[in-house]
Amino acid sequence: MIDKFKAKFVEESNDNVHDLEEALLLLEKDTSNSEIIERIFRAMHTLKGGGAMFGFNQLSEFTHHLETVFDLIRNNKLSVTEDIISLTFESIDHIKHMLEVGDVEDEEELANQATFIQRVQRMSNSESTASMPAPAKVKVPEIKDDGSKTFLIKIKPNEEILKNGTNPFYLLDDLHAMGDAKVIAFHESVPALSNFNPVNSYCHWQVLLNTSESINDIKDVFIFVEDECEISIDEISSGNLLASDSIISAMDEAAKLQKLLTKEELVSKSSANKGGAEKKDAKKKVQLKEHKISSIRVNSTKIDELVNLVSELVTIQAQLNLFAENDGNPAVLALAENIQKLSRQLRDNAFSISLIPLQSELMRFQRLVRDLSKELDKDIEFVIEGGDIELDKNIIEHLTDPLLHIIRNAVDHGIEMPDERIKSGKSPKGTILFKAYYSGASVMVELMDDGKGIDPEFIRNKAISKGLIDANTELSRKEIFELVFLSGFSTKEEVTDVSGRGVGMDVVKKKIGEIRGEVSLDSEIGKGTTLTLELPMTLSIIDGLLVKVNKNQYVIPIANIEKIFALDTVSFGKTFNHVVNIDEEQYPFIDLRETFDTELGNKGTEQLILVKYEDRKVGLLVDQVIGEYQTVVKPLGRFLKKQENISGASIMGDGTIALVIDTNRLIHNNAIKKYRTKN
Amino acid sequence: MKEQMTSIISFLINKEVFAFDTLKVRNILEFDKVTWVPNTKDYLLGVINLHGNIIPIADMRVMMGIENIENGQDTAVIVVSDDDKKDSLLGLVVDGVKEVFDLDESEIKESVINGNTGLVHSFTGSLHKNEEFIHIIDLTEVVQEIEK
Repeated sequence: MIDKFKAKFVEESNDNVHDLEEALLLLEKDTSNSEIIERIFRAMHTLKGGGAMFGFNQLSEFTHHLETVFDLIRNNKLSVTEDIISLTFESIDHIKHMLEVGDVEDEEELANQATFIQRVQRMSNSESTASMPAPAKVKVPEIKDDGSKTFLIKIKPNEEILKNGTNPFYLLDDLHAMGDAKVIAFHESVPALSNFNPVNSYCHWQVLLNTSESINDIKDVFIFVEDECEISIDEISSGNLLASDSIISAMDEAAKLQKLLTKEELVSKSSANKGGAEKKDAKKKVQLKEHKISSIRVNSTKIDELVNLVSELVTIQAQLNLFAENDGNPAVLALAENIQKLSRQLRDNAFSISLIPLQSELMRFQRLVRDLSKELDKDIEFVIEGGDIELDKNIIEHLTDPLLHIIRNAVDHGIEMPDERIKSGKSPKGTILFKAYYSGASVMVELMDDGKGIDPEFIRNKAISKGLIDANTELSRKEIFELVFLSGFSTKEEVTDVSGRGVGMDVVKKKIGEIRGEVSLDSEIGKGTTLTLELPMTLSIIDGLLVKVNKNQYVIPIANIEKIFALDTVSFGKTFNHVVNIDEEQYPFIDLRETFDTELGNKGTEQLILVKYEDRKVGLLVDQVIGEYQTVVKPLGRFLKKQENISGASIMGDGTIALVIDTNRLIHNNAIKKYRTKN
Repeated sequence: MKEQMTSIISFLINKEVFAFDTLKVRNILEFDKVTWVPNTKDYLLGVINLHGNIIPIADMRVMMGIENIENGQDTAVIVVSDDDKKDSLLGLVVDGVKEVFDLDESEIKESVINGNTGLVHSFTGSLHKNEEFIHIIDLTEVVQEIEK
């Protein structure tokens, strides 16, 4: 049970860390934004509290020190410097690590941690005394600012509150325990004795509380009575107002008159008290009752399950339609139609649930660009356009590695050093633009850098020297850039720390291919390089062409199909080395019956399906084309992973199974050698 | 010694009796049409659709090196899951399912198998019941073999 809570905590903390990182990146651009600082502080505070609660004591301790630094910043006692931001980034990584491993006992780790904490402490100590460029607006208020704040809290319980066994006085006790508090009780609504019901509560209270706890801690006091009380908490001022006579007398007055104190009244009194110096932002009115949950966290396997069930429903609905049409009963037909409508909506809805915005993944790339460019002494900005574009979560998961590689390449090889950039008349700051947009049923992702670009001649020569192409081959510009994706091609000779760890662009292409996407590259010398990824919106539904090979049905994704030809067997009788002549053009082809090791089906008619493979077209020979078919693709599972020609299976309306052919793999596995030599 | 009850499900392969641990069995189906998947091992018959999930089917008889395989009315598919994950569902074809029964673990003796059992080498144990020997097959090994 406790483990379950712990897992939940880690999950939530990862969100917090994520938020922290995002805020920190923003802070770097706008170092004086108090809202961002507040956000960072809050995230740290939550981590600290949760950590202690769930047994991550070291995490809690570490975060505490970090929080101290930001508390100082928050109170204008420390200004944000590059060093602080960098150290905080490092600290975030450390926090991530601690979330992963929990409390450690390993001495080396402990020593590491101790030095880390010292570094953080140094940050909060030294800087506050040494270089504090005291912001102008801080004047020394009359009321001693000891980091505490004064809040006005109003508690108005429902009449029934006592029935639940809640004693409102305990709430007041809790508040007293938090600091200095003065309570006014309002009892004007207590009825005459004849109408008095002893199990009802008639009173309400106002509390002026001075505490160094945060507003969230105060809210926590009311956590169990939120629904039974009307509660408002207003921050009146920093410092202790209870030490001020005018405030106390105002409260006594209010108690006598049974008149509610208002925030404005107190604020004006307190600022008068301070000589009108600091007008604190007291607008942060927190209304506990109006908290609505706009999103919920759901385990992703549940979503997968939902999508699965809906797919199943759609399949059965197709069966029902078939039955209704054959049956001819108008009532059944009408019902079937209604169910079709509903299930279609349900399907769209379920699929939209499994879509998540790209933005969520992009954070880490922003961080990556920042860290790498610092490491390489480059100045690079990562700009995101279209981060709200949504993609299937499975696609986004598959996208991480390729994107990581592409971005690393851009930072390492693409963008030049600042002085180099100035020499070529560019701004010293490089830009990597991430742009996503919809294009038909696909999502396009472009990664554009304004670096030095790639010389096509260089690629060509390199490909020749690596033996990938013949020296005499004529290639178009596009074809030359395609060479980059061949395995055994890597433009940077030496292996650097940042990129070029032996994985090339061929891996990127392969990975993107796995999610049925495509990659292309374009570049202009001196202007920059653009990589374009074309991705499907969802993995689970494809438009396919249903074909028959021997007795089995197969689905070929329509996106890959160029043309379909009906041919008689005779024309293949003359073929040599699996190349066929159609319309004066030669195409290599694969006989699916042969690759799938089945005997020939119905002789006489055969159909050739021309599919795209990289930049060429390859024919697939099948017995019969049945028709177009929109289908839900299901995985074959781990036991059938070994074979590569089939990427999944789809359940037909009548419950039978059609296998989905992975044409890229199929062609790659079966024809690549013959094909290379032919071209 | 304290009694350790366990339950097994017994089935026939080529007139001999074998068994699986009942806890690992998810379903028993009639042997029906299987969609053949190309380029796979010969004992993998293909896939079936079980409540919308695609489940691979392996023929235990082929795995155990039986030569004259006949499919009849009793031929059945035992759907098992070795580690309870969804993608570990696997259908195994046998000549017929016999019965499910409880037994005390102390009744299980070390297996003495005479003759060839093909790709299935590992047995959890055997027991003697109603004049028959029942050999309990170690499912984990079968699963590993298929996944290889």
